[in-house]
Amino acid sequence: MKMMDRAKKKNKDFILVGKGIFFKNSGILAVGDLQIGYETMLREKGFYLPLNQLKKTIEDLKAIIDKIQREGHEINKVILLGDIKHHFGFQIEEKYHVREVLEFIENEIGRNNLILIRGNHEKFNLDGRDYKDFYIDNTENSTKTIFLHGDKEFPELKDKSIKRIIMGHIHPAVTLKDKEDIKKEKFKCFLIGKWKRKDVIILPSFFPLKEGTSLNEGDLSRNDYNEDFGIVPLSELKKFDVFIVGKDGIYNFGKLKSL
Amino acid sequence: MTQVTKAQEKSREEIERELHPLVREWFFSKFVDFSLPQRYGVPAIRDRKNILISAPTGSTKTLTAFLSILNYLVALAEKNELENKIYAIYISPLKALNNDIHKNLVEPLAEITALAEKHGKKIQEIRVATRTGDTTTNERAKMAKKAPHILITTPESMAIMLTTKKLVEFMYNTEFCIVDEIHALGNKRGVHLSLSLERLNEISKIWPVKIGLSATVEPLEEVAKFLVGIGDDRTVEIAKVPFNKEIDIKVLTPVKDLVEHENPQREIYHLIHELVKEHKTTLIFTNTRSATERIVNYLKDKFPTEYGDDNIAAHHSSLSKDYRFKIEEDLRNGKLRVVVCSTSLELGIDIGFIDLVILMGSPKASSRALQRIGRAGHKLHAIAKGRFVVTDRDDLLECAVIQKEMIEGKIDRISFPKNALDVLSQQIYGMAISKIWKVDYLLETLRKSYCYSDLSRNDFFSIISYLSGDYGVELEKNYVFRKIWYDVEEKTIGKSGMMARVIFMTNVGTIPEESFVDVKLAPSGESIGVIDEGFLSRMKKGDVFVLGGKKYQYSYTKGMNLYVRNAEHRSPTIPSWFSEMLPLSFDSALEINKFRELIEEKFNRKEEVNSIIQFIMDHLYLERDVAREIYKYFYEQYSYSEISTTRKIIIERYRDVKQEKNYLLFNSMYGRRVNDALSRAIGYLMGISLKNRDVELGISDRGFYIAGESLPIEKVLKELKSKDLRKVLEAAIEKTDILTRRFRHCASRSLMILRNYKGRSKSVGKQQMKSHFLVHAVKKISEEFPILKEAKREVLEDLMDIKNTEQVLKWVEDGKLKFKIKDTLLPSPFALSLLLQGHVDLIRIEDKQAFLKRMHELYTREIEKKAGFENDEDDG
Repeated sequence: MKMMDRAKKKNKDFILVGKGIFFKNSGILAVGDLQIGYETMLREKGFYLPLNQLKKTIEDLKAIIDKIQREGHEINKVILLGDIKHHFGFQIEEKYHVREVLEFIENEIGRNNLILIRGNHEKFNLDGRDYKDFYIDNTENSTKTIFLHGDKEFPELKDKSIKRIIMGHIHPAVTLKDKEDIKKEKFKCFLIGKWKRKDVIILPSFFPLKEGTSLNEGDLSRNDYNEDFGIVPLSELKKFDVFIVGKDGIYNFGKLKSL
Repeated sequence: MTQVTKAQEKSREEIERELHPLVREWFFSKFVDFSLPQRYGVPAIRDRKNILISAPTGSTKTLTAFLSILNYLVALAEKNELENKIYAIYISPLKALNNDIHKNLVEPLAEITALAEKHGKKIQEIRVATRTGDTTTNERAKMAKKAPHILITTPESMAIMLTTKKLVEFMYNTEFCIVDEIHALGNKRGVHLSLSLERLNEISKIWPVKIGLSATVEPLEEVAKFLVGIGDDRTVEIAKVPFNKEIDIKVLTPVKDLVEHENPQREIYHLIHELVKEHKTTLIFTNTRSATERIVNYLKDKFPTEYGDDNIAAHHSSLSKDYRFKIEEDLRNGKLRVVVCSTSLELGIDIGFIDLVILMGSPKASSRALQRIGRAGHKLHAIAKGRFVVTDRDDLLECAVIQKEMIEGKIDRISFPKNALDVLSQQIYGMAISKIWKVDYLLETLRKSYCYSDLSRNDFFSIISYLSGDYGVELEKNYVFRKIWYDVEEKTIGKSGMMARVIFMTNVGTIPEESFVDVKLAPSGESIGVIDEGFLSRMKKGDVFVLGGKKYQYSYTKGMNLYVRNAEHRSPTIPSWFSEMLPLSFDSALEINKFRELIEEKFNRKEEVNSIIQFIMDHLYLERDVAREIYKYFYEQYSYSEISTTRKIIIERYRDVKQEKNYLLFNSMYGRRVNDALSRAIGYLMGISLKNRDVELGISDRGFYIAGESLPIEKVLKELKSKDLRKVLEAAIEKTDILTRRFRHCASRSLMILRNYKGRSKSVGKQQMKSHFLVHAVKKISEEFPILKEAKREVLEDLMDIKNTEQVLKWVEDGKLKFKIKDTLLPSPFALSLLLQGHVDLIRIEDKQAFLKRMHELYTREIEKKAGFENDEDDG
């Protein structure tokens, strides 16, 4: 690690809060894939165990918002980075649950300050709200940043003035093992690195029921995402830094390839 | 309480006198005399007495049960008095057997009808019908109009029929109910059936006489109570027919020296071939499906002129029904020379004349060995000839001891699970579909079942509360989870929802769905075979395992496919039999300990080699060469280390320098079910005293190992007490894969997870169910959630054997048994196989967050070492 990079990092304009990321200059809070409706999907398939996904999602969001506010920041906008819902088709209960989560956020920060990004699970408009392919933040004194889901590229990504990409989609997680190979656990993580001369921050899924796709353990080929790895190829992701989401904070574990 | 008495044997004249002339004429046109089971059974059934008949396979048990019933029905048919109702229900756990019985019942009936015609008599048709999962809708509809007089079914279909209005009406006056192969019901399937029998009793206007048929099994009193249920008005007779077939058994080793020989495997096949050559029809039992395939292929390969598709075949449960049926048919017709099977031909299907049974590897229990060898000379009084062919020295000792138990008539005991809450949920749901119940009467009915006679009110109401959707969830709407309604005022329950009957019918049963993973060669994708999911979950990348006789290395997984590479020159890291392994019975294990003790005493007294070998020959009924092999094995152990016996468990402390791992090898010969419990209890306490670190375990029938960074064994042995065992084990299994997996099964049995729903079968993806979130989710509702409680009970009582583990610990507390720790550079001969078990499970104690912090500290230290400066600060 060069001293220059280190210095830059010290002065970074964002903080990682739980599963979310908050930009101090613009007052933007972004969170990754919520996959609301996963539980109702299970129930439709005959799975009758309450997992409380809805309740847990709202609790987790509230904890993040509270923490940011407690630290003296003001949240101007909340950006949901796509795959807010889980069903590809229409499902009534999911619709109610999505509405409940969105209304909760709007109550906290005001209706016009919620920005919804379209993910690959948003095949149609569920509730008449406005969904965008991406959102570009150009607040004064802050890095010009594009927020998108991450499953596909847009011409705007070629814009050289955009210095930073914030995305979700791949549900990044890593598996930690001790040296005896006795214990193994999977954790949600952020991936932070560079791609095509832009800073890239990939958010973990906000989805409370599963950790995500383990990027350092055979898991990769076992999940749904291997065919569609998002816009940043795995070979590039290997050079990214891993920041694990712990209950009480974020833990830096260095480069993905060395894990 | 239920009264159990001995059945009376009656004379030929007495039985003959009671037979209808047609039935008598038919019987003596086929048989010379009544068999022993018939002398006990036929008169008792005629007198409407409940009876359990225990007799060796092939001793005409089935005909015994049917003879009195046929006699009764023929008399009615002659008088034109047969009603449109079910007279007799025959329930068997085997689907294939039903077809068999159908054949053996329809044919005699046809013959009796023909006889009647010959005598110029016209008798009513006696209808026989089969109802299983395979019965077509058309056939079912037919049944609903015209009742079969004799109904052949399985435990699962029985439960379905009890919720089918039309059929229940035909059942109100059922006079006889036969339960076949009871010895195979010491599991949740049996529990399920015991409740169905009580449901039958409850709807019946008259008592359906119970007839239980069982192979040689112990304890008969308990099995008899299982059959008739618990109550002051319940009585049952027992007819125990001894194994009167002469048995001719021997233990054979393929080579003189099992250790020194360069290729004992090859010699095993030569030995098998020699045995086959000397006999007309040979049946070979293996313990696993893969071994079954391997033997068939090898014999065909090595002796192409002797074996081909026309005279050798494999028979196991993964093969298609039609194929198996054809094999059975060919076997009966004497077309085949060799059939190799796993457990699939153990039970009573008539397979014709077999003159030799070979047992490849230990059958793990004397009852199973008896059952298998009983397949030979499948006619009364014929000699049952069996040979154990052993694969290694541990196997040799096991086989020898099991042979001794067989010869001396020591049969291991079966037991039925008690108060299983998942099966209870399913059956209460089924009962609620039939009608509205007063809860107190419902509980009273359930408690008549042997398996629920001491069901607590608390557990009962926890199930009522679960079924009525009371999960104590705030945000969720209760009705989503409701299966029954419960009226607290009226104290009544009934079904809830339009789909109830369909859900029950399509999800009935207790056998967990086995899910298989396809094994494919990378990168071509060429298909190699299947392994079960449980097996996969025990493996990690790079592991080498055996499939279909070949070695493969785990490469990666994709969807439900496992991609592997050839690994012919590497040794397996995971034993191939792991997922299908049968546990050694506790009784046989104790017998081995006793033998070990006798031998150790002789070594201590420095007895002559020859006199010890002679002793082994006499004690275990072995030939000299085989006895010498056992002697050598014991002598190596005795001179290198020490022998574990009834009085001491040797623990070897050993460090694997290459792996930097410390091992404790416990030579505890108590069978896998006890070792499972014992190892987890010790491992857990050890993890606790190691500042909550996880511990790795490997478990076998002969002992277990514990591995970890440091292993404070002395301290733990002092702490572990029999009275705390359940508490310790409940904590120890808390975070294990096994509890999660069993919970999934229990959730499925209690219809929390539906296998079939809205026309989709097996809809919930395995991947979605894999993670631990199931158990976590349940714990959030309540630690006392009944289905979680049941999963724990199942793990501790059915999978493990907590009762006998407590017994072992009591022996320690009474000073009868001692642990003895020995430091060693290399594992002793007895302990070597314990190490080869591979990674089995680990006891998770360390909290996930604590683990994250520990790993992060390690990482930070590494970075500091490498970079020589302080690491970046943490974010957040």
